[in-house]
Amino acid sequence: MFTVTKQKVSDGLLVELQGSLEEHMNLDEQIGVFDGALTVNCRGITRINSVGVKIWMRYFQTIAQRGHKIKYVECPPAIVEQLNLISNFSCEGEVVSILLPYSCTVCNNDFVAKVGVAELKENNCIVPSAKCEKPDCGAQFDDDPNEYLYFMQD
Amino acid sequence: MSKYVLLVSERADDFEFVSEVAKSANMQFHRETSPENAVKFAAENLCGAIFVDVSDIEHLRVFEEHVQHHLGLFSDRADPNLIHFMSDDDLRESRNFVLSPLFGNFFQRPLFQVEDFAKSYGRFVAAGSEKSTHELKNFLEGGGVQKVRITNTGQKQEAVEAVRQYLIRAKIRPRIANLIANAVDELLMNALFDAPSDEFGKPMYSATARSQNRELKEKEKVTMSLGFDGVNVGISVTDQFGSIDRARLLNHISESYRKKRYNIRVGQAGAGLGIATIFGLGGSLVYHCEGNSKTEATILYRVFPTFREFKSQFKFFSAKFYS
Repeated sequence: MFTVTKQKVSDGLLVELQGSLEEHMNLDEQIGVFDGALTVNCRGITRINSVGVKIWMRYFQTIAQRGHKIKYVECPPAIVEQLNLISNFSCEGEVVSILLPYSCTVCNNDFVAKVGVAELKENNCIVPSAKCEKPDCGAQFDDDPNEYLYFMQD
Repeated sequence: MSKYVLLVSERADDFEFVSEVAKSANMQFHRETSPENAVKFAAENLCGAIFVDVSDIEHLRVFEEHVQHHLGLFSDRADPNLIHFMSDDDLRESRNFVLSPLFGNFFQRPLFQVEDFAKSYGRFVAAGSEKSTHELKNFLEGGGVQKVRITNTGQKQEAVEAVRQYLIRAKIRPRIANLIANAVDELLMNALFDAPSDEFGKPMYSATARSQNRELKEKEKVTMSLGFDGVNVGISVTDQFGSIDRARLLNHISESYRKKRYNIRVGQAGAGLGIATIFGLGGSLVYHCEGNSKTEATILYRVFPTFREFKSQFKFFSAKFYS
C-alpha cells in the first residue's frame, strides 16, 4: 500500500510518501500539478523495488526539467540505500535531511534519528550518538557510517 | 571415490578457508600454488570444486592459459560451474572477472567468522557439485522448506508481504526483513515477467507493465520456496523456462551505478537494476539454469543481531548453467 498526503506550503507543495514504492504507485496522478517547489517527506517509505526506482526517477526527472526545485526530507534507510546505489537517484533534488538507523541489542529496540545533511557535513560526517527513552539503552548506529553516508561524497 | 576440492592460491587465508570448505563439503582437499600444476592435477583427478585466487587479474589470465593449453576451455574438467573465483574486491569493482569464460562462482574473502562461513560455503559446494543435489534444503543446516505456487501475477505482492511478515515473526530486524522482502520481489518479477519466452526464445512479457494482473498459464507458474534454519534464510524462485541469458546476467550482477548515471530506458521494465540491487545490498545470489527447462534463483542470508553485521556478511554469487 502506497499513499501520498499533500499539503500546500509557503514555497510550494509538501508531500508525504508512505508505504512501499513499487509498480502500483503513480506519482503523476497522486501528486498532480503544483506551483513552486516540491518538498518530499520520505519518512514513511519502507522499501522500494526496481520498478519503483524507475517510476521515481522518471517522475522527479520530469519535475526537475520543468524547473521545480525538489527537496527531500527525512529520507529513511530505504531511500538512503538508493541514493548510495544510484548516483543520479535524487534527480537534481536537494537531500535536506536523512534518518539515521540505530539499534540496541540490550533493549532490542530499533529507532531512527533525524539529522540535517548540512549539519552532518559541518561535523565531518561524524554520526552522532543517540539513545532511546529506556535508561539502559545501549543503542549504536546500525550501519557502516562510510557506506551509509556515501552519497554525501563529492 | 571422493572428489577433490582443489585450491590454486599461495595465500594462507585461502588455505584456511578452502580446507574448511572441503571438510564441510566432505571432499578431499588439495592445494597447488602454481596454476600449471593445478591444471595438471585437475586433468588427472576428479574435482568437485576448483578455487582460484583472482586477486590479481594476471593470476586469472595465467590460469586461463594453462586451462586452455592442458584441458581446453570447454572441458568438463574445467567446467565454470565448478570453478570458484576468490578476491579481496567486490565483484562490481572488478568487472573483468565476469568476462572470463571460466567464470561460474565468485566470492569476496570473508573478513570475520571465517570458519562459520567456510562451513556454509562447503554445504553450498556439496549441494552444487551435482545438478540433482541443487536444492534449497541442502544449502541450509536443517529446518523445513515451505513452498508456494504463484498462479497469477497479482499474487506477487501477497507473497512478498508474507515473506516479510514471516521474517519479522522470526524476530529478524524489520530493516533486514524489508531488504530480504525486496530481493524476493525482484526475483519474482524476473520469473513472472522476464522468464516467459516463446518457442523462438523471444521474451513474451518483458515490456508488459509490472502492475498488470495476469492469470498464468501452466508453464508460466512460478514456485517460491522459503527456508530458515535459525541462522540462515534461503529463498528460491523457480520458473519453468530456463531462459536467462548468461552474458546479460553477468553484466547486470557486476553493474554499478554508484559512479555513473542510471539512464531509464522506455520499454525495459527492470533492465537488471533489481539483480544489481540484490547483490549490492548484501546476501548471496545463486542462479541455477537448466536450458529451456527451469531457472532457479536463490538468495541466501545469514541473520545477525544488527544490520551492520548483516550487511558486511560474507556473500557469494553463483551462476550455474546446464544445457
